[in-house]
Amino acid sequence: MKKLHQEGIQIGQFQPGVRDSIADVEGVLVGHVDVEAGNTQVGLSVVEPYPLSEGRRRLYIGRWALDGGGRISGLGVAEDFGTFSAPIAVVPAPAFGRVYEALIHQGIGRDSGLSTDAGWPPLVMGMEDGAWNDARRIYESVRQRDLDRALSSASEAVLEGSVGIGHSLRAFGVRGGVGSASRRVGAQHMGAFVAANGGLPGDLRVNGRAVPTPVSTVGGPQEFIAVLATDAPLLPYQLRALAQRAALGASRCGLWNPLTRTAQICAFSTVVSESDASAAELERIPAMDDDGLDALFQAGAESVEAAILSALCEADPLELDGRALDVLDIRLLHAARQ
Amino acid sequence: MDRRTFIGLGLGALVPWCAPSWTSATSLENRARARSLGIVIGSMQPGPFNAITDVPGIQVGHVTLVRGDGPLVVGEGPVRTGVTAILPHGGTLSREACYAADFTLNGNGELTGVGFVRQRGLLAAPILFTNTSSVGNVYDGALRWMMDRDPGLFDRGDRIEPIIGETWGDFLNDTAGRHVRPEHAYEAIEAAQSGLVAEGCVGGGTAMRAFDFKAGIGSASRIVPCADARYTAGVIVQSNFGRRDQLRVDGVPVGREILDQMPERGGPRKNKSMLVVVATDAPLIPVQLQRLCKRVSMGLARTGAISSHGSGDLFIAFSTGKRVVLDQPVDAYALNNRWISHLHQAVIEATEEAILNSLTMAHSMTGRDGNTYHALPLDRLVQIMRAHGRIE
Repeated sequence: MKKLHQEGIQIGQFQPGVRDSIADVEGVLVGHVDVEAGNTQVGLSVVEPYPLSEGRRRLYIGRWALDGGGRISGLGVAEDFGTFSAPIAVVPAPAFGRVYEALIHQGIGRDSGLSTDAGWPPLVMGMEDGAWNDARRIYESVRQRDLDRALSSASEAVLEGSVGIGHSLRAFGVRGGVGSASRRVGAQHMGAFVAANGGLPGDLRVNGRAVPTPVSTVGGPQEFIAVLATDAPLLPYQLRALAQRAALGASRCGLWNPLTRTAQICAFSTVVSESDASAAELERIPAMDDDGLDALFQAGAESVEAAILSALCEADPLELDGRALDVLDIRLLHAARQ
Repeated sequence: MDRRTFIGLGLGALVPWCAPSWTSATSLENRARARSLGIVIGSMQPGPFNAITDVPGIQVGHVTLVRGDGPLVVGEGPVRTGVTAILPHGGTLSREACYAADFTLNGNGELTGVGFVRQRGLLAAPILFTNTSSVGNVYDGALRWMMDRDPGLFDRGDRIEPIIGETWGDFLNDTAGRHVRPEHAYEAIEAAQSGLVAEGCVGGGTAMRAFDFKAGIGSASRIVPCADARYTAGVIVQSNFGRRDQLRVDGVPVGREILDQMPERGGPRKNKSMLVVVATDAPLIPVQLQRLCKRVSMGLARTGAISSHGSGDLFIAFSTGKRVVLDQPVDAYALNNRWISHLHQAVIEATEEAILNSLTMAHSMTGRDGNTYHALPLDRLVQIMRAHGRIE
């Protein structure tokens, strides 16, 4: 059982899905890999928007990025066409090129012509590891096979905490990590996968209550990444709006603060956008009216907020080279129960 | 095509009016730049090299990989690819940046590192062009170069990445073999120098074609007088787009008059794309550079391009007029907008001419499975231009 649930913490008004994870959006899988890097571990995580074994699929996507910044590939197609078809890999920044290469290799295996419905261009998102890990060591340690392992481990059982990219994350002065959550909006599902990183000591808010964290001597980059999935038939402009409002969930718990330097949220719909297989001139595009969006916006923000808190709850303490990184004291959440 | 393995480096001092004989045993064509054929694009004067390197400080380097011929054997060859590196200056790029902006005309392509460009309005990394399947390796090699030059790259919180662009070269090249390695990217950056820019079948442009003629790398520049000042605007392109019937040279529908010399054998050619880098020493701020970037589209259009759905038409512009030392106060000047139209015109002319140079300087090339792109025949080009009154 998720620790967030064990503590009886409820975030928002909508009900979580069965797993309370992004995998509640059907077809979405998450995988992680842990990589030895000298005397430490780093890792990377992948969100598969659909099971890759099921062949080609082109999905709509929208992105929000603070100031438009952040390390990401695949923007040309994602922004100009509003589509993508690749697994989304969240990786330590020095490993960006290596993971991109691995995804190209994977893509060539699916389609040697690297088509936009078969995994091209790769969607890699790079995160700042800051002072905790040695950039050169990460660069040397992450290999292409690590990406392959993350993909082959992808499943509906979404692990949280200090796994994958979660290894090197720090939030509010304690150990950050990866987290996931979902919300049901009528018959539709909304799910979030977050790399919870950033936030200042003293800023953590749970249901409006300040939850103290020790002032850590270990600084950290003010940067977070979230991936949102939904089975609602949203068009790119609606997904951009969703991504933008989902960021409010990061703000509500304090992760997104005025010193946040970079933040990116990619939101996609699992409803297939268009098909190369059809020779017809016209494609029927499932879509929904903007009036139905408010509930989805709310659910998106709640999912992101809950995923961040869940990440903090699932993180393991870390000691490295004499430096310690504590985890959130979950008992302090009791006061925040609704 | 002879069977020697060939790796070409640098070539900043390549004589511009003929291709080196090593590049093709089957075609001893003499290639030439458009201007030397008597084709005059626009009304502004080019710089001394008529290349992006006319902007002081800019350096360009290529690594060209050409080996093998015959049937495609994925992983072995034939190999027709490479990397082209463009540096805004020879210093530590991640410490001393240039104002910059990017523009996507049609997004079916990759250009990494634009997050930093957009967020900070700065270029603080080398720009590299390659083929689609090698972006990861080239990013990897360029990042290693950046870390070697600036060991504190990841310590300062500047989220700088190398800018890697690509076009698709599968018709001639064993693309799935991913023959460009990280070390080739490193070498291309190290080989970058000022002066003459090698054009045609070099670097990232090795296997590329435009308007169903052999193409690749092209460059051009314009001098831009603004009141008492003289600035320079330069362009370098990797051209890989267009259908034969679309080609226009200084407005003349050349593509409708040369119906032969079409690509031979092979399957359908896809993913037509266009990478463009614009540089100027005029002191422009990011919002002005974004406007400049859009004008590239107009230069492209003058050659007949339509920026099709499958094209990755991605542009980046930067100004060397002011070096921005990261994390220090900036004492910036910006060109008064009353003069910016001159720069717009310069970019349009230089883009059009750079594309033409990529055609006139590229020689015919045969690659995997005997697939061949024929070079634009220069004698017939001149004949057509003369018939249309464009050349004496």
